[in-house]
Amino acid sequence: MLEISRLQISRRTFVGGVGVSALAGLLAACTGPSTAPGPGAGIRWWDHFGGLQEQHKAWAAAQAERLGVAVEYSYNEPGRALEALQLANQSKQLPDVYSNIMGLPLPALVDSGWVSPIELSDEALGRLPEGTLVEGISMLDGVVYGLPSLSDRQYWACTWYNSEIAGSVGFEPPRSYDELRAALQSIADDGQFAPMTLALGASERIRDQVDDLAQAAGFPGWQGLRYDTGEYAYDDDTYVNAIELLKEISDNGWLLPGTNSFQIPDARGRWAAGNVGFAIDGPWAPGGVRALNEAHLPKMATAGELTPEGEDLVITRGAPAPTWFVAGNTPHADDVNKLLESFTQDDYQAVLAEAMDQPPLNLDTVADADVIEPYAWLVEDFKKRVFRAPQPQVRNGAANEALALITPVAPHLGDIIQGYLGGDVTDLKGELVKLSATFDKNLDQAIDKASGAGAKVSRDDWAFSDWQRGVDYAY
Amino acid sequence: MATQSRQRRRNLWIYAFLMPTFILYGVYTIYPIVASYWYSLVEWNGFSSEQRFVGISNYQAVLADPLFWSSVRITLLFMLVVAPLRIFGAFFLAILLNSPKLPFTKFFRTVYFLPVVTTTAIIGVVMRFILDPAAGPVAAVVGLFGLPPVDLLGESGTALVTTALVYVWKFFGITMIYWLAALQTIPQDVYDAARVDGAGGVRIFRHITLPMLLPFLLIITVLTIEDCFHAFDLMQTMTAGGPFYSTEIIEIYIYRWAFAASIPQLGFASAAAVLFGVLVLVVVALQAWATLTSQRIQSQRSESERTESQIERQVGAQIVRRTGKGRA
Amino acid sequence: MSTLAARRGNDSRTGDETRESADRRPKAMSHRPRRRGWWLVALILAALAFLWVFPFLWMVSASLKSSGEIFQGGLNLIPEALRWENYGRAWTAGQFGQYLLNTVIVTVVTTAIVVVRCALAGYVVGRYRFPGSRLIIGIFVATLFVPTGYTIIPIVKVSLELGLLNSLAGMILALGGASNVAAILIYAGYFRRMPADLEEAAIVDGAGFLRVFLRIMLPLSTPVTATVGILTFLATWNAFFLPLVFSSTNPALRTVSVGMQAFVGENSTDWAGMAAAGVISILPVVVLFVFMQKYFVEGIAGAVKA
Repeated sequence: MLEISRLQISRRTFVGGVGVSALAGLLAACTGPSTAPGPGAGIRWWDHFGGLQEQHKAWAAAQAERLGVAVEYSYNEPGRALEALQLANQSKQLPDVYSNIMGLPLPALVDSGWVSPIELSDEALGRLPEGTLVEGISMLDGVVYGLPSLSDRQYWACTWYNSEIAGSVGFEPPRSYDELRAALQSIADDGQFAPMTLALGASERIRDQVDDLAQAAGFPGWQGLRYDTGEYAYDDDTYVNAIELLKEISDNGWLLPGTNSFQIPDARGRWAAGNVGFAIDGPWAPGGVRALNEAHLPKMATAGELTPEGEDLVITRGAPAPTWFVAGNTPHADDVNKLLESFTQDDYQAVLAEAMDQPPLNLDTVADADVIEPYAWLVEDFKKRVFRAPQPQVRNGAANEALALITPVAPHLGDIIQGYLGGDVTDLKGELVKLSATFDKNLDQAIDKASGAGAKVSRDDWAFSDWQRGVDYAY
Repeated sequence: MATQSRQRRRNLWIYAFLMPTFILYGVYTIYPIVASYWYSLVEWNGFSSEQRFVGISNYQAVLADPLFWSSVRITLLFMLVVAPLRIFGAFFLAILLNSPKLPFTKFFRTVYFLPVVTTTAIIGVVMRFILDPAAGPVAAVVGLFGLPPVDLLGESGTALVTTALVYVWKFFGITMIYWLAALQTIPQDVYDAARVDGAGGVRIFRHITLPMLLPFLLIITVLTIEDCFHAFDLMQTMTAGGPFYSTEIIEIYIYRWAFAASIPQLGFASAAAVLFGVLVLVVVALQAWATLTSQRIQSQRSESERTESQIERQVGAQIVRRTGKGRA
Repeated sequence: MSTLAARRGNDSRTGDETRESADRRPKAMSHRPRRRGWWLVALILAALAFLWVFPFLWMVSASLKSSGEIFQGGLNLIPEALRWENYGRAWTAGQFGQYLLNTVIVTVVTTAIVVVRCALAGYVVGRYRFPGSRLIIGIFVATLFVPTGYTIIPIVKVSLELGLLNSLAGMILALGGASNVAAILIYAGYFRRMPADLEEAAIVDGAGFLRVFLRIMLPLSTPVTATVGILTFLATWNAFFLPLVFSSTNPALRTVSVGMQAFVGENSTDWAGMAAAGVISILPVVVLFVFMQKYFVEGIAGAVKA
């Protein structure tokens, strides 16, 4: 009421703060022993690589001994990792080292204190393959902010199948859409197994896989954006055909019941349980399967990635993205740099190779590593079929300013696919046209905002008229 | 002067008593509410300290988002499924459990209340297994009848109803206890008197029990409806809003933009939260109104009862009059 | 009063007819203790009760099976062999021992804080008029309900500034400071209805403000304390969102509900381990409920009576 003047409120707020602190002190005294060490006690290291959990735990222990500082490693499931990092950052408790899952351009991360510079010794730098650190992607003005450990040369929508089921049902490794249809049909006819499963509940993962399938089918760009024109074109036939294939698989009842709501580990786990023929998963599937059901490893087989008619696969990827970041507020900069240097060592690359998660930066280490044959085959395939893509932020660093301002779109491609398969979306083409328009609009708005703030950036930066499919792009 | 200083001493004590609430409530409830109003007016991604004032454009964006309206619709739909089932289902059960003739009432009460004490987030996980279309017991029952597997949580047509039914099951016990408490406010001698007068079970129920429970219906309805806005834990663990937003209640919509988006939109999420708060405020206003109304009904009735019993002490006649009134 | 009289008049007019119709019916009062009909009702209720607790039976059964056995599905609740090692896995690898301890600490301390602060506030709000009292009640009512997630962003910020994020103490204060208006109002309503001569007598005897509260009012409010205590206990034990946020950066601070979520993410195919973790998390509160059932029931009933 009137009695409470402005002055009293501010005094009360102050008293409140003091009071809460006092109460907290009391509580801390009561709950003392169970309050675990917070930040500051040692290096905290987070990542989202399911297949590397054991290896990273061991690596953390070994490095802790070498550096003489505690290294506390935690794994977050990919679906949760982003939330955990955001909460951590909003509370200024970012782990000292963390894996890159934000999907934000580097300058935005630097500006907002998410990351701090990484100082590597010349020896460590020398171990990195040529072209690993790229201005605009992992470096800004020559300062390194992110360390790649994993290869950019990979594709994500690998057709994994159970070789035992292939043997008993009798199908050939499918390379084209029709061959996959035939293989699924033969499993369905046989009746003992479920033909296929997917992580349909994880719409981001489905989005990534369909982006990959569309590119394999000839879409001249990635993630809906055409390299040649710089325009969004999610309604391209390559997208529609890939989605219709999934729709057909779903409508035929070829998906394991429950697939609609499977998260990534659910789908992989069910497939690894051995009663499902196919699963579309990344090259990292063997690592994940080992963590879930090691007995399934010998039955894993892959046919690479599907193309509509079985034509030769061409995949295009940008420069190696940073795998590791160092928190902007880390109190352990020196030790963290040393930990990161250890990631460039050959023995760490070998660990990565043997873990069969994402392929290591140095793909050649896989050949000598103890891996299952399909994994080695995939990595060889990557070397032949994956080419370097053009990236606006590499050609013009200012493009990053706009990229940082893009508003996320919901529903995104993955959601639309989920909705189309489930019957909630009926006009697929219409939704995709709308999606492209929204992306175009958001990009234009971001560019306007960025140039309004002084960045020299325009929509032309997104167009690479000289890009050719199947050739490494050179600026 | 003496009274004044006593008054002042008293007020000091009063403020001292209020201090813990002032502090904790102020810091953890009032300030955050005020702050979220501010956030709803800025553009802020949560990781930069930069907050750009954008006026009401966040509100415009939220109101223009079809998914926001879809989440409002789903929240209300969820309430429409859950509330009647809980209120009337629990009412029916409470009537049965309140009967002195029913054996094992205490056992039944325990069993039906049991889900209430269990942890919602864990129930959400367990229910996902139970409803699993490949290996869950529900699938096994469906299989017994030779029907094709049903994916209750994976189909957008059934997911919302399924989660709503789980929610009903989980919190049914609370509403049941509410009703049992309400039933126990009816004094036993009223029933006795009616029986002496020859009224049968159905008549007693219709002419005594029902009218006397009416004021409680309002309170219980409001309490239950309010409860329906707290479905975040269950939804997040069972469906996380999917498939294709079909179970995305407003709380999950807010959470998605605030914590689960690749670039968090805290201003946008706060605007959605404020709008949700407005929706809830409407319900709170309704609650205030309902509580007042029910209090008025109650006090009127107790007044009339007192007068009646003073005038004529014949309880039987009184009950007969009451039953007559009920019918008229 | 006039409307009341009119209604009463109305009542007596219809009264005679009713009495007649009632008299014509045979006196159907049964003094036999239970009729067959009620046993049938009991049977139906028992069947329903089985369905009601089936999820728990299934969970207990699954916690003793192998994961393969669960995956085969079916309705058989009896495991082939009792696999107690599932519990070992949940307890050590899943760290549910730690989570359970955290949950107990958080729940007990939060409940204590809420009961104390709501009793104090409810007492003065319910019993006294003082400068600002209407405003305070107004604020309470206006914030009676705050949706989940509404205030989480500022709560995180303020906890950070007070150095309380990432600690059980911070989690407890946030839970204890979150909206508990209903509890205050229940206390206020209860204290308001107490007869005034209670404290007048004490004041005549020379008792001060604090003494009146501690010696007279507080002991009399035991039923309300049970209500508030039990409702807070349940809400805190089951809390998910705040603990999720407060433990997001430090797994050692997880409560059971958050731990379950994490366990699912990391061991998605270990259904047996998850079921065991669920049993570990739910069992203590179920045991508590069975033994203190009376208080639970009265506590919740108190919410509607008050």
